[in-house]
This record gives sequence, structure tokens and C-alpha cells, in this order.
Amino acid sequence: MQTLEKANAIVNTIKNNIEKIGRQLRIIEVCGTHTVSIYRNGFHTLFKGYIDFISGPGCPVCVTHEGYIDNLIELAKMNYTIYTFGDLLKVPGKSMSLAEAKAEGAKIKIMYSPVDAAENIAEDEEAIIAAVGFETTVPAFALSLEKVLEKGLKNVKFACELKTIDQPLKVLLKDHIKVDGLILPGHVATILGVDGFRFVEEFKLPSVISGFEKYDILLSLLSLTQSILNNDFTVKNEYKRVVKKEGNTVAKRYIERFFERTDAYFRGLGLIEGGGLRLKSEYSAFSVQLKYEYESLSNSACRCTDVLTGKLKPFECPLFEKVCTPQTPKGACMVSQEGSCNAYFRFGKWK
Amino acid sequence: MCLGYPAKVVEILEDGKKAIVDYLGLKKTVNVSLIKEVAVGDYLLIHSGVAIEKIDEKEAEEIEKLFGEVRDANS
Repeated sequence: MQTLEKANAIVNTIKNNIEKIGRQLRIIEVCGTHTVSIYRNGFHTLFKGYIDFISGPGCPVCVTHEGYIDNLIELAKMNYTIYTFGDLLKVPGKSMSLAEAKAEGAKIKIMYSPVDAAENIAEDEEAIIAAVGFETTVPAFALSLEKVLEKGLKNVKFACELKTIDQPLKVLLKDHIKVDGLILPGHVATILGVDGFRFVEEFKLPSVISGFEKYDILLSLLSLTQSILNNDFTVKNEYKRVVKKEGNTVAKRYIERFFERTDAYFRGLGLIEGGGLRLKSEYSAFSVQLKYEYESLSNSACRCTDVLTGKLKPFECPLFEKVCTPQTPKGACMVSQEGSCNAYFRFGKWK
Repeated sequence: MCLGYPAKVVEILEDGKKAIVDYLGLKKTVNVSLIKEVAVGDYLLIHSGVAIEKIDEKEAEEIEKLFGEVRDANS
């Protein structure tokens, strides 16, 4: 059987399952890369009337508060060199983005890998590594700090804005959103394992860990509709080629060695208890103290909050496509390639 | 930021903490400290310059089989 026929067979089975369930399903894809895959492959159109896809808070750029950007710009003004992933550059701060600060002469360097950054930072450079990301990325920062320690560098610090996935998901599912099932983030699960997502079962919601290719998404939707039909709330793993039950134990040990839980501010969700990670106190010499004014979200017309909590579709935001575009983002959901507004802008045949 | 890509190991570097991988013909040096027993020919999932897991080729083949099962169930 040809690939297209196989895909059609899966699509038909998913639709048949949903017809048996008897209503349109609300499915939340937690991870921004899933959002992109769903829209790039046209699944929102293919399953129109069957599945309403909700974009969750799993894009680290989208949940980064503008106060963090302001902090980095302040540090750059104090003559630190900021090392950051490129996708943080356009996130609007209160007055400007890192890209604009760079254009004004601030020393902001793009890193491909935090480990490479630690290897290549000169001894006479006062450097700050912008540590942003969920559990997928945290081990890379742990390896980066290990490299700093190995080299005996005293001139490198980390500005930690790291996030954990479990706490925001719990808050979202408890207080903000009603869904029929979850597509869980495959790359966070690569680190945490299937066991790291068992907490979802407490919410009596079917869920599936998914890869990112179009067939991964289809198989995950198939699995999810079958779970919904069967009232099966066990976390399913459709990304077995990568995700293990226990996750990457070496990576988890690295995280535990260097980091501990802390409260963290999520754009869209607010301050979440235990929602972040900071360096353990024995490594405080390598940590930058950040100062926040959390209530300072400047652009009140931006509806990122409602988008991130599934209350609005990106195109329902008054700024979408008018003044907010990937070239001129007003909110973080439009900045990142994995942001839901950005995905809608690029791929959304949503009209 | 959370993007990962699969790449094939073509060379293990001396200290065993790094490897040169091939991704669509592009050669990159990546950190493999998080992977137990890396060998030339393995497929790794790379994220932010770090290999975060080995890709199980048998499981990847299983996906193909699954398509067959779905087809049979649907026919």
C-alpha cells in the first residue's frame, strides 16, 4: 500500500473514532513544535469539524516574560556580553528587544549551543549565558556549567529562566482549560521519560507522547481517539524510537546535580510555584540575580495570555496580522518559530 | 528552540564526549556526554548541540508496521 493510502487509512480511522465519540474534540498540543507540524501539514484543515487544536504553553520563548529581556538588556548595558539562542532576539522587552539593543551596540552574541559558548568564551570577557528552555534544553546548560567548572572560568554567569513542564500543565488543566486530550511534548519526554508525565493521568485525561513528523502526529491522534473511546487515561508513547519509560537517566542526573526547583513566571499563566529551575546554592557564584516587575506587560492589546491558555485563537487577537507579524512581533507568541501566532501566520489557512 | 534533529554518528572524538555527526550531508561536532555507549553508525537526536537520546532504528521500523496494522483494521 502506498504511503498516501496508508495516511488516508489512518485519517479515516481517526474520523471514524471521533464520529463514535460523537462530538468535536478539543485537543491541546503542549509543544510549539507540534503546533508547527499540525499547521504546516494542514491537519487543522483536514480535521476541521472533528478536532479543535489548542496551542499550549510549551514554547519556551512564548512563555518568557518581557522582564527577563529587560534584565538581559540592563546587563548588556553594564558591559556584559550576552550569549543567547537566536530565537530570543526579537522578543519585545519593555522598551526594546535584544535585537534592537544589539543594533545600538550592546554586546549580544548568538549561541548555537551553550556548551560551545562555554568552550569558546574568552577569559577576559565578562559573559552571561541566557539560560532559557524547558527540560529538553536544561541538560545542555548543565553541560555548559560543567565545562565552565572544568576550565576554572570565573567570568561566566548564567541568567536562569528555565522552566519545567509539569507545574504549568497542572495549572492549565486545573484552572484554565477544558480539553479532551493532550499531545505531550516528545523532546521534553526524551529527557523525563513516560514516567515524567504520569501526573497527567490524575486529571483523567487521555494523553500521548508524540514525535514531530506528520505520521507521528497522525498515529498520536489515532492513539488519542482510541484512548478517549475507551476512557483510557494511561499516558501513551507514540515516540518509542526516542522516548523511554525512564527517559534519559544521564541527563536527569545532570539536571539534579546543578539545578533545583524554583517559582517561575510564565507569560500567560503568571507566577507558578515550582515552575522553574535555578542553579543550586553551591553554584550561586555562577548565577545572575534577576529583578522583575511582573505586572509590567506593556502592550495590553496583545492577547498572548489568552492564546496561551486556549481562550483565543491567534487570529482573534486584534493585533494579529495587522501590526503583529513575524517581522514586527508585539508578543512572544509571534516571535518564535514555534509560537502559535507565528505558526498561524505562516501556515494557518484559518479564514 | 526545542527543535531536535536526527543525525548519524560518523566519528567518535578522542575523549568520547564528542562525536562528529552527519545531518543531511552536513557534518557537525556535537556533545555526546548524555548518551551511553555511542558507536559509529548510531542515530542520535541532537538538540542545542547536544545529543539527548539514541534513536532506536527497530522502533523506527515499527512505525512502518503500524501503518500496515491500521490499514488492515480499516479495510
